[in-house]
Amino acid sequence: MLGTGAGAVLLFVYLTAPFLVVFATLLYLAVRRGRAPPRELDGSKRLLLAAEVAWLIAIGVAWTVINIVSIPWIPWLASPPQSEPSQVVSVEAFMWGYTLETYELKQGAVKFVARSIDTIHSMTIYSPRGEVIATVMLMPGMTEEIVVELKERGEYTIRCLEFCGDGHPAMVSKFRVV
Amino acid sequence: MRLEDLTRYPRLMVLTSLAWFLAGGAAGLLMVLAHLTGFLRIHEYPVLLTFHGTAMTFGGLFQLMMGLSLLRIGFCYGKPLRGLLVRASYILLNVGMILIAIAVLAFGVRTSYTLMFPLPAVGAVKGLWSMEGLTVFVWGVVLVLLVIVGLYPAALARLMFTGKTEEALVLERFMGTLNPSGMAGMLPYIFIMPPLGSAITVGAVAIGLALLGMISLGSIGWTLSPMNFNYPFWIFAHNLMEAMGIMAIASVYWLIPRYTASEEQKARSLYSERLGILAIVFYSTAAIMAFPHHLFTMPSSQPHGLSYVGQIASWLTGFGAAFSVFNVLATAYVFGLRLTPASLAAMLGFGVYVTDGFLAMQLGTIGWAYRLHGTYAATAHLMTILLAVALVWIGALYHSFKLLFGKPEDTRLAYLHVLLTAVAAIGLLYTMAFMGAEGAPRRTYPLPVGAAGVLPLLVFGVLLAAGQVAFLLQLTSPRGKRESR
Repeated sequence: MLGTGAGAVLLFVYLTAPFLVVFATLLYLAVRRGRAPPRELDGSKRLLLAAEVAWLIAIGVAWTVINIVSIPWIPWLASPPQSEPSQVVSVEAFMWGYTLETYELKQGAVKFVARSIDTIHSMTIYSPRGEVIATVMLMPGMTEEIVVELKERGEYTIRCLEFCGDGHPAMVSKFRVV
Repeated sequence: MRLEDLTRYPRLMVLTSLAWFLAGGAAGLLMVLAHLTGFLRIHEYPVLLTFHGTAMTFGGLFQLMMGLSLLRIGFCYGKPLRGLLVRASYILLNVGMILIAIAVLAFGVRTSYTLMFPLPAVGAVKGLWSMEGLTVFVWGVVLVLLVIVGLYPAALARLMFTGKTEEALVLERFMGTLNPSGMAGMLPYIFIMPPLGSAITVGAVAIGLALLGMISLGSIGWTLSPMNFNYPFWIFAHNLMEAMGIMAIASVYWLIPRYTASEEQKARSLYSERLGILAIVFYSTAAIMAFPHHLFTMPSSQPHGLSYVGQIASWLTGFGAAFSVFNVLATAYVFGLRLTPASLAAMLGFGVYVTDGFLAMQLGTIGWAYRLHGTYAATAHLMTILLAVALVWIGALYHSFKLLFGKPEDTRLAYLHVLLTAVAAIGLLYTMAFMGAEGAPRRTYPLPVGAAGVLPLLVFGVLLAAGQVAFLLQLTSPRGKRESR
């Protein structure tokens, strides 16, 4: 769940909501203190030092968690070379469509070998439930290889997510997993 | 020495940036309306998209930053803002932007503001737009680049390091370079942008000369290779956004101490000047090598080592920002904050900037990039950074409003401007983040996925526009007669 777009936005909300509450509260308190006589404005150095350390630890933990939990989703770490999939599909992207070597695949790991023949495109694979499971940028002259685990049966959609001219919104293809 | 020597060019820059903001903002609203009603034809949307992106980012925000940062350096160091560098920065930026606008609106060069190279060339070859239009576009880009990479940092450096101080122009005693940290935020721009932007500028000039037939296309093959172009492009574009962010953070460092309530605070400095300097140096240096995160999703072409460097550097920039959060909040809390439109805009802009930082952390990881890159999540991040930086500069604008326009601001309109902009920024951030999570593709019309987000986008877009209307009313409001200079 966490390694999906939905997981990303949920984590974003979980982290930013408390931050915004604390930020707004401190802003309110700062303004309230600004109206008080100056002599009341001395802060406790020990308390501030504790707050500084607590904040840096909290943010350090948040940043580190975001980075560490994402490591297993790095494509080349998720599919080490020794587990070379039996299905390999070449994909050619052009303005504005895709040519796939085959439009029917079996469930399991598939290696996509993709290239663009004209300008920058991407090959973004949406599961039958509409979830982005991988996106690859295709720069002309380069070939990208990515292994994707196709867990569900049904119709998958490939879309271009890199703006590539007038036909960009129509740059879509589909394949079936049986 | 007249005050006008200090304010003429900043005022021109602020007002011209407003014109670009209004034009670009109108294009943005039309884009959202088109998503809702479908009234645009397919090829018209990317025209608006390209105009919106270039007008808001360079004609609007960059120019606003340029005007207000030059003003600040002028009245802190007591240096008049005149001379070739300042004049040429203003003129060439706007001539470049006019050329880009002509190329986009009249010739239909529609590449998005990130160029998507080699799309500009491929589009001309495929007949989507003409070679003449492309030539105008490229020379517009060259002029804008010359200002961003050369003239503006040179103007900042000249004002900071050379020339005599005119005491009559020192409005805020704020001398020094590295200390206090509010001024140190200009140093990364001065020293980082010229070297990191030189390669892409040379490439753009070479392409421009080839389009004019002054050199052969064969001699500039290196610039036409997409990989060769995109690395210099992204090291420049990424660091430009970071440098603008650092300038904004430094403006918060400068503004907030000016609005603290404590009379005990002798130098009106931050809670910790050392932490401020540390944050700026740490953030700037880490940001330089964070740029590979723009190309994470090329698993075979970008060396994995470079991707790891990009992820770790992105992670480290988050710590630079975290130091700033504590310092700014501690300054406001310990010394108390006087609520004014300037202080509120600076604080809210800073809050929006940091909130977006959480999304930036996710997009800066390789793993999440393979789920989010190219979706509205990336747009959410980019747009929010620009809005947050704009809010901070709005704070700087209200700080100097009377100086620039000769009359005090109408505080009711100013608060309305600031609050509407901040609410819109947060609303757009969350709406686009949710759309990105759904897999809604950015820069796409009509939207195949995520269409439910369009209505909130329109609502927050209208709020943002209403905020800027409040500022227009502010400028035309009769309240406070313009003082003679």
